[in-house]
Amino acid sequence: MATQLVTSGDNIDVALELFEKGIAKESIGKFSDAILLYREAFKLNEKVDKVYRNRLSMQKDHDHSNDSPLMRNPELLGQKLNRLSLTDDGETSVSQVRHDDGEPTNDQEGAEVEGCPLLELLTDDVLIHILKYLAMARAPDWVSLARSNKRLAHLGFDTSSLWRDLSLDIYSTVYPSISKKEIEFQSHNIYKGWKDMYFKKPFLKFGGVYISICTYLREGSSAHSLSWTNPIHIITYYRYLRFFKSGTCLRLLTIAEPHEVVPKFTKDWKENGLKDVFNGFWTLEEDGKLTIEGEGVVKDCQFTQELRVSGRRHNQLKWISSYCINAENVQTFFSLSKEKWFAFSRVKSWPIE
Amino acid sequence: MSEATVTLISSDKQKFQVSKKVAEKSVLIKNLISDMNQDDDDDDEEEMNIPVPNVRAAVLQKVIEWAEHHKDTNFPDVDDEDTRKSTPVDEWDKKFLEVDQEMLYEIILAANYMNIRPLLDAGCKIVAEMIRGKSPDEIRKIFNIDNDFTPEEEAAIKRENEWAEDR
Repeated sequence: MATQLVTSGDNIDVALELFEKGIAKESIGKFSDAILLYREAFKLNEKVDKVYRNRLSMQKDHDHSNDSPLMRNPELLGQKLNRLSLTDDGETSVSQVRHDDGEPTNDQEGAEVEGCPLLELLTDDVLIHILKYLAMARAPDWVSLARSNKRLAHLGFDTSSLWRDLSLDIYSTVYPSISKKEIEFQSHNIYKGWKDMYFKKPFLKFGGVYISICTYLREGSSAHSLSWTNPIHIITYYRYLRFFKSGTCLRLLTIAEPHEVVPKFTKDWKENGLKDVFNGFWTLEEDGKLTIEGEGVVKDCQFTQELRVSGRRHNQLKWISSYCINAENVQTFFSLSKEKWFAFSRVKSWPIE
Repeated sequence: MSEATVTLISSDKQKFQVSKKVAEKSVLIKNLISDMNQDDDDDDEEEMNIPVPNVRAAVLQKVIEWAEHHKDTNFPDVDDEDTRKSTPVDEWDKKFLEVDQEMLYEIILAANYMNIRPLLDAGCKIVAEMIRGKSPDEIRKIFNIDNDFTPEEEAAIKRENEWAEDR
């Protein structure tokens, strides 16, 4: 093996490569393969895990690499999905959205505008106008701009009317039966203002996909196995949920990994080559209880899934129940013992629809 | 009957004679004119001088150029946030706003002061376009902004607010 030729110590790149391969194996449930790769990586460099994590946290801001393997950790999965994009001609591809225009242009721009400070010229109300526009239209740019400086952070994150715009927009979408007046009333009677409301009152997110990654062990031996031990199969499957503002949603249960599924998980899933995607309708109650109804794998059955919006900042969906009702009106509940909660991942290239 | 005109006076005392219709693209001026007309309704012929004390001549000239071009444009309702936010910047406006950053900021400030919502929106969208997809560090470079956070503050602000970009 090539790795044996390298002496241990500063061969961090090879070690990292092995480590990443290990993570890729682990993410699809091939734990023994993963362990071998991790071991190899640690042998080469015992700090490989720390170096890896450091690089990853740097990537969070700079998003340079597009080849890190899919993680089981939902946050890391989110980063990965952020880089998935659809190109202009509608073809799917995995590309670096943030850096399409590359570094050199940034440098040029920097030089070009030198000595023209935005903050000294523009007044607070104009800056708020820009931040509000970004918050509604391109939220990631809003967060980046507001994170660049104290004054911008104050204007961008503490302006009540900005949170008001966001709240009215999202809550009137997810709770169509509640009037804007009622939302306004709640913001200062139930919550301590608009920002507090936006942080606490549940809502659904439309600019991405909710994914639940389930792994379970199944014992099983083949009759022809010569092995002493009983082999254990690790089964991994994924549930995907995508919501639309109109009240519809897409549901998919598959063993296919997110990088294969997500680019195709649009309303045109059939043309994109996905199978077994089911349409559904969603409703959200004010306590965060989400009900999804629609067809499923069994014909003439109405499938219902009940989940709760929860987690830090509304990014998770936790199971309440799952059942179907057949044509004879018989209700069958499904076991949730193998199910995991859903985590939200933003997909940059998706318009919020 | 000839078109009614008004005279706008910039901060550096230059005079610009424009048609009333053009001047009224500015809600500030529109309200001023209607106030003045209420005060002396028998004296329509008198020349109307309107000082615009916050805007220098070079900028006022640009603003007037914009208003002349859009004399007959019907802009979406000011209260229709959705339409306003989702409309891309008009091609002519984009060309018109291809000026150095300082002039761009001054036009934005003038539009804000004179209450010309469509011009303010267009200018802000042009600024917003400059930071598309950029990290906070890159934004600091583009706009010459000081990073005045301590590392701890920066981490805290990121931790607290970053989630809000997921929607």
